[in-house]
Amino acid sequence: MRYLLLFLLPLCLFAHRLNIVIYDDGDHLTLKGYYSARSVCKNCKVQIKAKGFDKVYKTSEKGLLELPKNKLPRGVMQISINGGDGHFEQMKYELDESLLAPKQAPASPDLKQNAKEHERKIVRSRPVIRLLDIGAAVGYVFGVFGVLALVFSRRRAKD
Amino acid sequence: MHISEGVLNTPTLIAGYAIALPTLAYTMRSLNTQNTLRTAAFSALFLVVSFIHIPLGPSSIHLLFIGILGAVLGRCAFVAIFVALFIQGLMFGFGGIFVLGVNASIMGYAALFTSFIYNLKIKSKFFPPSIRYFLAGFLGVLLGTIFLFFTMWANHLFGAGITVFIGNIPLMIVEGFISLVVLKYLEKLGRL
Repeated sequence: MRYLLLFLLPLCLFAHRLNIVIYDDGDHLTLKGYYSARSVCKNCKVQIKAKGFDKVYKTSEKGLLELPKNKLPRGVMQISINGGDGHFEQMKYELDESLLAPKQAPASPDLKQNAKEHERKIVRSRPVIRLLDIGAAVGYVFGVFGVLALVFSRRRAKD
Repeated sequence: MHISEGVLNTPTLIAGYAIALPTLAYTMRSLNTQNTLRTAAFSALFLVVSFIHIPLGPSSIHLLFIGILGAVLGRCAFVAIFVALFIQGLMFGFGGIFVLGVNASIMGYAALFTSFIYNLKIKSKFFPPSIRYFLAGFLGVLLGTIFLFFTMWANHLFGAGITVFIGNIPLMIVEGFISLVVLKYLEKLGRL
């Protein structure tokens, strides 16, 4: 039981980890900032940086931000979200020219096929891994083994 | 080497945990106050080297150090790998929690088998320590890739399994040479 609790310890950290997900909604992208399924990042500062482009936006009360594609820079852009109190996440995203092409209306009579074509496309990229995160992960590893060492030393003292 | 969430079917995920958890409980019994710090250090090393990507054509491979962990830590290598994969899955999305059992079984058992083969005392002029050190790193990745291939094959991902296997062949050689240098150095320091 104590080992199970030990492995569950880091979970509390990830409940407060800020995440970004981007949906491709045709003519615009919808960005969502969230901590967990029930907790969204309200009124959070979103910064988009690219070559010759640096703009700051804010998420809505629902943690959403709609970004028209024609107002975004082409190529790779860095999207960062800041929820305050050290809650920060960033990712790289490339706006592909082909995504800007107007979509044709689905011609298939098959309902399932139509539904598939209308499905919201999630275009989340892999988040940027910061050196700080790697350092934190190493700290967690040592923390887990530190608690294990404590358990062993207590057991030894009992014996 | 990390299988992502959503790739494998449920029976495989359950089987992964069914193998990993008893093995974890058993190997944890090998941990004591003397080797816990060493296990923690190598677990952290395993976690960090996973971020070192070597470009390979259009793709890239990352270091694993499974063989080195097996050779140095013995049975404790399984615990080190499990903890590192757990933290990696949660913090960086490499692998994941549902697939942790499968990933830990693949890499952990590769480390355990490598440890077993490494510790076989074969005395032959054709089997000097340098070959043993090289083989530790080479076998770690080879065994892990074989386990990974069979896992993917069982999930109707034969083509992807073959691609991963071929992609990992250079890594086997690279890790073999790294293992040779690291283990030779550790032996020189008297830490093996």
